Amino acid sequence: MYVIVVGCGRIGLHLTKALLAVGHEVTAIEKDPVRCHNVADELGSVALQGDGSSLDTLKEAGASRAELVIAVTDADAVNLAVCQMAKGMFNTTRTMALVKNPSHDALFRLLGVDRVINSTHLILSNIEEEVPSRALIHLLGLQRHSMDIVALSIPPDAAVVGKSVSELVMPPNSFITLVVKDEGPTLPHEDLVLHAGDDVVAVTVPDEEQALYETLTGVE
Amino acid sequence: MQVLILGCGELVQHIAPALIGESYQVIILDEHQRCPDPTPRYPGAETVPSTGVLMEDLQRCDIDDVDAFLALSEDDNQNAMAAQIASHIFSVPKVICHVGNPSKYNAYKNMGLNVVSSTATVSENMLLYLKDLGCM
Repeated sequence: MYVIVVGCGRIGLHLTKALLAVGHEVTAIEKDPVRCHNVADELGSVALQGDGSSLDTLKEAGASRAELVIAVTDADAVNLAVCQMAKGMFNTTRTMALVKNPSHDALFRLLGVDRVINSTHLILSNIEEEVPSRALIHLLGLQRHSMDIVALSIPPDAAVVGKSVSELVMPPNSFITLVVKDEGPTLPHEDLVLHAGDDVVAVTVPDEEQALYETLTGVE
Repeated sequence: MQVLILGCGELVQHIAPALIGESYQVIILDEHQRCPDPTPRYPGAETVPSTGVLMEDLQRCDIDDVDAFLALSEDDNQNAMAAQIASHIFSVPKVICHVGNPSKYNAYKNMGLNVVSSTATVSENMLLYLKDLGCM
């Protein structure tokens, strides 16, 4: 597969190496001449110096035959422009962009970026996993539907302890999909009673996350 | 009429006083806050430090109530993103985006943005002028 990576900071450089290592053809575009020179020293003719959001540079990189363009510069506006130019003017099959500001996530998707990687969100979910108590852990984002798969552990003092799944009043667009008990995982059938320490996996929308969290962990 | 302008280059320095003269209410978003002393230069215009691409900044400027948004900074990518936020997220009735690089003009036009390019306009005028002078 032919992939164009725009932005050779730490993320772009590692990404380029990883893609090359699994046998993809890669062009890495970097604006800064010094940084680009360093990439060229390390990876050879893969590096192309230029502004990845400009049509001339994308043309030189052969954007029209690229199956994937990945924009990972440190500026959200540049990453959006790269994807929009690739898609709009070169019909690149798929575009992927890094966003720093979480509020740009939905905007980028609205404006046609196929896959949005939210660095803040990723770091946050890693931190959440490390924080022991009462965290709502983001497991996966279902991008196309703007939904999230989350997990949390039922605390001992939660109002839902001892209640069955059918007694729960769930927020809109939120569903429990799996309950993991000490004995093992089980589907959330109506009579299943929740106990302290059960791990619950649920699907929800970003706006209802807090409500879901309160439903499952709130004290009466 | 309320107009929100992103940028503070020569274009803005020219257009802001003109709009103020026509009794528009003007707010200028300037990333570096390097507007040359906005108060005496543009009496009545408010200057806010912002890149124009942060939704919180735009909300603070009451973007929901503005009649027009002009993205006129010197950074094409920033202009395009700010203009698309203004039109797609905040539904500002009139949005105009400036791009310096004329090759991007069509790209953004195809995406439904109202685009102006000073470079393209000046080049066209130059060529017409040269033709008039018999140089071409």
